[in-house]
Amino acid sequence: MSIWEKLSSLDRRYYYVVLILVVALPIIKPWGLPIRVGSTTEDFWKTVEAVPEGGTIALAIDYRSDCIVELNPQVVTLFRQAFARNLKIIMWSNVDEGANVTEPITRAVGNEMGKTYGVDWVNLGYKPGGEVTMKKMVDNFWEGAAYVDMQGTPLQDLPIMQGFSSLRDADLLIDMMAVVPSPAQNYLKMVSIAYGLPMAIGTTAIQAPTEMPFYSSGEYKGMLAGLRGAAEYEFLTRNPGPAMMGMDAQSAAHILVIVLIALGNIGHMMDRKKRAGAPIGGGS
Amino acid sequence: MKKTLPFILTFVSALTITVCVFFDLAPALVEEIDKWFILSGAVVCCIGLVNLTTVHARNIKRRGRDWDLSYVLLFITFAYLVLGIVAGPTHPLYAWIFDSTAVPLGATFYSVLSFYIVSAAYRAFRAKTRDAAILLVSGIIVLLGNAPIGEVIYPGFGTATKWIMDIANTAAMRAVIFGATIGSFITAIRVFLGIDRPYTAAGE
Repeated sequence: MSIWEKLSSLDRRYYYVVLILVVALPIIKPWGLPIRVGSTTEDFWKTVEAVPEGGTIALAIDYRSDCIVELNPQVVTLFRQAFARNLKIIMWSNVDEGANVTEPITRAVGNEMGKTYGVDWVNLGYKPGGEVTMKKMVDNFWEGAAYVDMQGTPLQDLPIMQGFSSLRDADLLIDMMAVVPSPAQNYLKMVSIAYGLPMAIGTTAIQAPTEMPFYSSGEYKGMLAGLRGAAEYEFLTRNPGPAMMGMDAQSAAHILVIVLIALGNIGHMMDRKKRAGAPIGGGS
Repeated sequence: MKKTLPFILTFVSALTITVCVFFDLAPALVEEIDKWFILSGAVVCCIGLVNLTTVHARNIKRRGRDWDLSYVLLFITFAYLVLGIVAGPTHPLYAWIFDSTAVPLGATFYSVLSFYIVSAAYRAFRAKTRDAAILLVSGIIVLLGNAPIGEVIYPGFGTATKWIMDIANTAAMRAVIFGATIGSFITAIRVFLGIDRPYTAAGE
């Protein structure tokens, strides 16, 4: 049995162990690889910077717990950048788990930066209804949000909500999303294009290709794509965090995948060559 | 009646919304239908709960496959539901249960994919044809361009990745989006006219 045949019949659990080792080593001992900031992330950062001081960001959280590794660092860094410029954030979720997933991390950033809940940011919780709710948030935001925040506090008791009666009152709309069909594309057609509200998104690496046409056409003013996008954003805002730490591990995992693809293909070619040279009718 | 009533409801509400929104008529009526849509979503959620309970209660009664797990599922579902209703979604106990079970489990399930990718990388990603070879090479370039190590190996990987994503990917995705949009528009018209009836049991 050749080495290629041995490799191809190897128990897949050996590959799993190798992956664990390859990912764990750079986390234990970081390599400190340089991070180059891409145009999508730079545009996202510039879009947030363009919001006038004291302005409001409307933030839709449309991902579940499966994507926290990629999207939580994006949300945390957004909060850091916004709070550093005294921007206000009104957030809600069109996805059942979204509000719960981000509640602890956003509260931690708010408390750390000396911000007050209800004054500097608010979490309105899960707002079902999809496009209908989006439309309602434009016509009458309070009604679209069912008049209460995530904790059941009436919106009239929250200073941040005073004077905010429509999504059009926001200076920027951001959707952090990782679900299908894309809620960001719905916000684009229902709110952003319809009322000229600037919009940016954060998404997973796997969904970035689907959203890329809307960034290329200038409809999304910026886009954070996956853990790489989060790492670039952390680097740009000088807030090193879990995404930057994860870049070395991601590099190692990508190299492992490429090495395995190469080995698999070399084995495949060897196998074809061997079969081509074998006498007709077998004879092994 | 099972087929006709849903069709009449679909046709009347769709026609009302289309005409009223297009010609900017009767905004109060449109608003009312919107409210019904949101409420119907909540009702569907309740029906899901009833269905889940029925299926698992029957499984327990018949001592069917994994009937003991049906007990666990029903207990967790109703205990968490009652806790959420009584204490609210920001209660420390409710949040603790969610943060220490659903969040890590969700992330773990997603992470498990990486193991399958590694296993598939050796066994399945083969350049058996010219098209497969082009796809494979593009994939490898994007893999290298998306990780910092790629640009350490060769700075051109970043530029090549950007070209693949901005030009090749965007062109293909736009075609897909156009196709999907036209397809969904046609589907909407077919449902509207009752040619397709996805709300009936067999979708007839």
